[in-house]
Amino acid sequence: MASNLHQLQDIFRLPVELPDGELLRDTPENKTNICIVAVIGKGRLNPFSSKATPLNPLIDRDVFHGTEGYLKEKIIEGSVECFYDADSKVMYAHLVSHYDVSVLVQQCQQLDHVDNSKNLYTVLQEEELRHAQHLLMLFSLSHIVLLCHPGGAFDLAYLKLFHTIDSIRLKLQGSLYEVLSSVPGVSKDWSEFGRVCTPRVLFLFETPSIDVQPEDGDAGSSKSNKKYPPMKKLQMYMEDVIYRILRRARAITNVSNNSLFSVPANMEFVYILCKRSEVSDPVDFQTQQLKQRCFPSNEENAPVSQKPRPYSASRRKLSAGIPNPLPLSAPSSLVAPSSHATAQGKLQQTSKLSATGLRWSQEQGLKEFLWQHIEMVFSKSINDNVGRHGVEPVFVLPTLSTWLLAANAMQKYFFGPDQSTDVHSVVSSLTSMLDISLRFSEARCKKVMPLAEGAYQQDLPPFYITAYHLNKLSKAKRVFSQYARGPATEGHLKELEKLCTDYWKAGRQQCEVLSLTGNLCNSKVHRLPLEDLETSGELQLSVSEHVSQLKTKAACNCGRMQMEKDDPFTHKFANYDFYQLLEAKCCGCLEHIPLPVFMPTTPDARAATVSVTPSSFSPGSQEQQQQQQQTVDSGGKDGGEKGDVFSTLSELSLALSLGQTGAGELDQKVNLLDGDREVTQPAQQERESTLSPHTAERAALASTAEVKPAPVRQHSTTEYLPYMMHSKAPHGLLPTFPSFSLCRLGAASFYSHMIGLELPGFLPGGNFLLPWDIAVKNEQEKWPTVSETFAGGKKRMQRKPVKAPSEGGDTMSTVRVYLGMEYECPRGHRFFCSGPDKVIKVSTNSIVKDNASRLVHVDMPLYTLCQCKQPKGCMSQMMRVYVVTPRDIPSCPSVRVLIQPSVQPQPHPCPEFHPGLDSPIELPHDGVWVLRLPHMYQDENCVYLMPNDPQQLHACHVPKGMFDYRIL
Amino acid sequence: GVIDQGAQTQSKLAPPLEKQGKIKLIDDSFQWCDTGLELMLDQTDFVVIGIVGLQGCGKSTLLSLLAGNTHQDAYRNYFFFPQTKETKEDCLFQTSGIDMFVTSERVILLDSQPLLSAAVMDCQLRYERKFPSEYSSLQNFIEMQSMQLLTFLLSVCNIVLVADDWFTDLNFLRFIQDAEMLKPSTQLPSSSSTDGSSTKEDGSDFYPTVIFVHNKASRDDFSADSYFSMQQVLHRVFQSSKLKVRNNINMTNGCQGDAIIHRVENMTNQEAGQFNLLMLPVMEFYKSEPEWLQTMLPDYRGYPSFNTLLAFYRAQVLSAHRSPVTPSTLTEKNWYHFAARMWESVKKSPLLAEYNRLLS
Repeated sequence: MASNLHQLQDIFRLPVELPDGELLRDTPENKTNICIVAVIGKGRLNPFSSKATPLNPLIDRDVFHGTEGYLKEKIIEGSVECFYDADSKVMYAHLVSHYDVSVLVQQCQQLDHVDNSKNLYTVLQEEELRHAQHLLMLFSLSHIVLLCHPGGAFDLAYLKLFHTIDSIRLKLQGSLYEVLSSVPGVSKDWSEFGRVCTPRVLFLFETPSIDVQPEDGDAGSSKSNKKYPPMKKLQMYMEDVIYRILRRARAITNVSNNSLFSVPANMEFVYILCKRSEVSDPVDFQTQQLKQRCFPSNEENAPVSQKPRPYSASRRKLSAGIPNPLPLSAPSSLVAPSSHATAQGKLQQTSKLSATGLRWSQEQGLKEFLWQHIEMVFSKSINDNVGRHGVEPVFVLPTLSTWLLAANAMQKYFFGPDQSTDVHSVVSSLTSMLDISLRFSEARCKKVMPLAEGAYQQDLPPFYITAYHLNKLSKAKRVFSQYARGPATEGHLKELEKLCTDYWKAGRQQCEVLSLTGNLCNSKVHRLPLEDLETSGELQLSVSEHVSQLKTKAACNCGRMQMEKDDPFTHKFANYDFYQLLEAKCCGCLEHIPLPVFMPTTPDARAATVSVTPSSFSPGSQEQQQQQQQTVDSGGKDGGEKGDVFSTLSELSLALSLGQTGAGELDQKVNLLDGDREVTQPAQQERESTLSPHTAERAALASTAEVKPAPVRQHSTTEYLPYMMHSKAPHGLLPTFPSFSLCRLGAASFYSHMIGLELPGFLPGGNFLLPWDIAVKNEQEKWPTVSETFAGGKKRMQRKPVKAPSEGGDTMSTVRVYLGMEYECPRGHRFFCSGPDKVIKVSTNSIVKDNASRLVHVDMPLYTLCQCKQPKGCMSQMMRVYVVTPRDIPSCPSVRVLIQPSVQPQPHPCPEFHPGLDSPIELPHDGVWVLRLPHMYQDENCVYLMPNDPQQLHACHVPKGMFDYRIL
Repeated sequence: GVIDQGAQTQSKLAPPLEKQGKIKLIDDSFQWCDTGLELMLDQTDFVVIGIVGLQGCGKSTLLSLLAGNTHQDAYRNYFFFPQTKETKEDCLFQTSGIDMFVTSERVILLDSQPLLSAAVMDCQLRYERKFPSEYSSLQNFIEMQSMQLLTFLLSVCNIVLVADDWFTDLNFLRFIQDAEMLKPSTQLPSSSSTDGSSTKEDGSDFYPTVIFVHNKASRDDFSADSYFSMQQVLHRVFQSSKLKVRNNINMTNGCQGDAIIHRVENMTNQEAGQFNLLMLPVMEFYKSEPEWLQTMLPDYRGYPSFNTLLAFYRAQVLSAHRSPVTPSTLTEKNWYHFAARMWESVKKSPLLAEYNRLLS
């Protein structure tokens, strides 16, 4: 072989890359006429050999390997592995495709490693197309096509494939002419015909369907006088069968020029490999070696290896030398030493058989079989026409260089980056012809699609939520997958999902905003009145507020009017808007005490960004509930300590108890203490003269303390608090609206202790306020004793009856204040409680038996069971606090009631909510005051609803110490 | 050696098989035969096992082995006759239509004619039989006939064995997928109404357990690498199939004794490892196994003896999950009537007719 074509000494693949002009040079080897043998078909799973491996003995070189061979990667990239045997001038082109299971295995493994989005089906679709294109190419470039069957019977699937390829071939003949005519050296015959000749197809079967057995071998030959050995007979029958089938399927015709391929009329075209002539793997090789060593006598007619040869070089020769065709049956005749002689006899018999041609050598057989066809190619005498009137078949014996150039051109034509539109259209038609299952599946899915869509659209409400949509979608999918089949199902399922989702989104979406109580807004998806167009995105959405079906009944700020209240979606509506609505109708005319709100100084006031505390409060999780439980317990202890702090503070140096501690809870605590000391700081300054000596002293100290810059709480006027005021809210921020309300229902005389409050919704006997008697000294007794002012509730209770002569002849009198904590249930039922979960008791003659002491001194629950006797039990929430301040009587010291509302709506760590006052509110005298509490409690983390766990209910409370008084 | 004895004693202890032959369920002209009804009992403890495969892959042999034949039996004693030497040489096929055999353990075995067989096609040609005019070509007729048999077996069998003698013909695997696609709905006509009331049964069509049996396996095939490659290919090809192909009926299953092939630890695809794939090696032809001690140099096979593998194969198939074919439990007699109905509906199936139109 000349050096300039040295690339061709080994296996190469198309397109072959040779130096420019190399092929055009006028060298003898370029001018050699060659015969081309293509090897196509299916290959079984075998890592050590491929379907072309049996050809190695013909070439006398170890050329074609299995996937374990060194060309593994190259084979995957380029599907045709070519080898040019210069000695015999034969070009072998082996098509490797997904029909070779070893390749399929690699493709599956790649799928495992690469990604899951691609499934094998789509990979195989591409491969199928490539395979068909390669076949087209090889059928136009070869003289002989060797079709390999791993099994023992003709594969009917090829009929359809041949038919498809043939029809495409005819369509492409025009454009192929253009391609081929541009290749130098290609004759006119060749380019017009589009191929070198009508290739002759030979059939190779790797598994004989009959079992060749030694004992049957000799028995059969002796018993019957059959003309042919079984294998020969089988081969002839198979030729008949294949010929009949191909004729019937019109794969071959009388005129070979007109068909895709031909089979010879009077020559063998089926070859059955009785035994794989190759030793298929190294293990086999080793065991055979071992056997040779042990039984050297058996090797008399085999070329015994004198010198050790490498495995690759020796394995082929070695196996050929073993006379026994079946390795499995070999030991049975070899093993018994006693029957050694007979075994040898048998072996000799079988070798005799092979010598007489009954069992010919596989190697020679295949070579002989193939060579008779190759010789005909070289003599240009292939004529497979049937009958006399056939047109002389076109036949070209190309030179090596021309063939390589033509092959490159065709490879480029079929697989190159710039495919002509011609090829494109053909390729797409090829795809549909090859894939009947997909076409069937498509048709079927299309039929089922409306059915599935119908299932989705059946009984749909005008608009609905995501969960409903998904439910319907899964139903539609079920319907679809029941009737749809095949590979197109997956794609259509996705389409169905898209269709249904689009249908839903086209005006059938329900607004899915949850109300604060967890109920869905039951209107179509909409835009809020104040929402920006940009944020809502869609212009055509209708504008409305959220509304759920749930409605409760609630009274107004003052409690005189009841109205239906919509389920709140914002705490503003729950705590402000609703009441403002009623203000217009009812309480607007009443006297109000304004509560602190944000006063903007700039038009672009914005909400302060409040970082959500990391220990976000989630009422659901049990663990946290337990934690809460613990913290509540410790909180309780804190409450206990508060008393201690209080008592110690009174003894400690007063500087300590000053408002220096400007921050946080302590500040509030101090405020609270201040309250208990019956003093407020502003009042302190105004009425120093009336103060008790104790407080006066304090005030004096306080005023000295004021020399130091006292922490002044200045509220921001540019940023507001986006949620409600509570104990952990950052200082200096105020909400835009008050969540509490305080108004005066009327003069003190408005309330009659005999009748109670005549307001709507009160349960019978539940509308009485509780008396809170505040003991005061008469005029002449200006100063209450320290013990008096610091006395606990018990002491005061003991002091009743109120008028009792005290020591030193002082006469005590009492001022009666009426208090009431009103609970309201969602149905609008209202009642007062006298203590935790204790509804006030009223005797038959409308005399209230309880007093207000527990309201003053005990934490009152925020929620209690309503008395409306609902079977399910209905919880009511503390909504209003009533205080009747008495009129000042000249003869008696005036009493001012101070209130400092604060609510802990859920167990710790929930903050306490308050109206945002720095100090308690002093209620003016002579009035029925109504403090309306918020309906909903919400901070930056969450909404604090009534806990579902009844164990936690007691932790939701209004802490004691809301009421206080001051005697003027 | 030691393990093999177990299999042998087992077969010795088994009650003598009733020497009743196979009978036709579907005859050569693809007509239903009612004779089999006599064999059916009024009891519900039975299993239907069918086998499909290409020509000459050993379907009849595999079923006979399952029914109790051993490789030492003469072919003429097989419950289902394998191809005789003569039929093989003449390129004929042995089984036509569907044969049925009922064992005393109430295993109903169904052996089918080879699918997509050149011999069947040639038979039509040789005897110049006419094929119905709705098929555009003889080849399509053969394909549709195969499709009818396959969809029928997929509808009436609890377990379907898919046999091959080389691994593996991709076209055949696709053919099985197409059959799954064309399988008529097993739901009874009364309950297949599309109204909302039957939505709960919807989508739960019945699919058999499908076990792939690689017959005539070589030593290569028994190597763990090759075996898992096979499983992987099958897993990928049948990835979106509803056939019950991943019941862990395979050579790595150690439930019925020792696993033949041991699972590789670092297998990437666990799901593929569940794939139903059994293997039987090439049959050993000598009539009796050589005594262990007499064997001077036993040939290296690379896999356990045929007896061991046969016992494993039987145990795996017979212990496989018996997928129901209908929503209600059937007696043998019910099943026979059901099968007859399915055969008629397969033959008249509009789906198959549509598929046929696409073929032409």
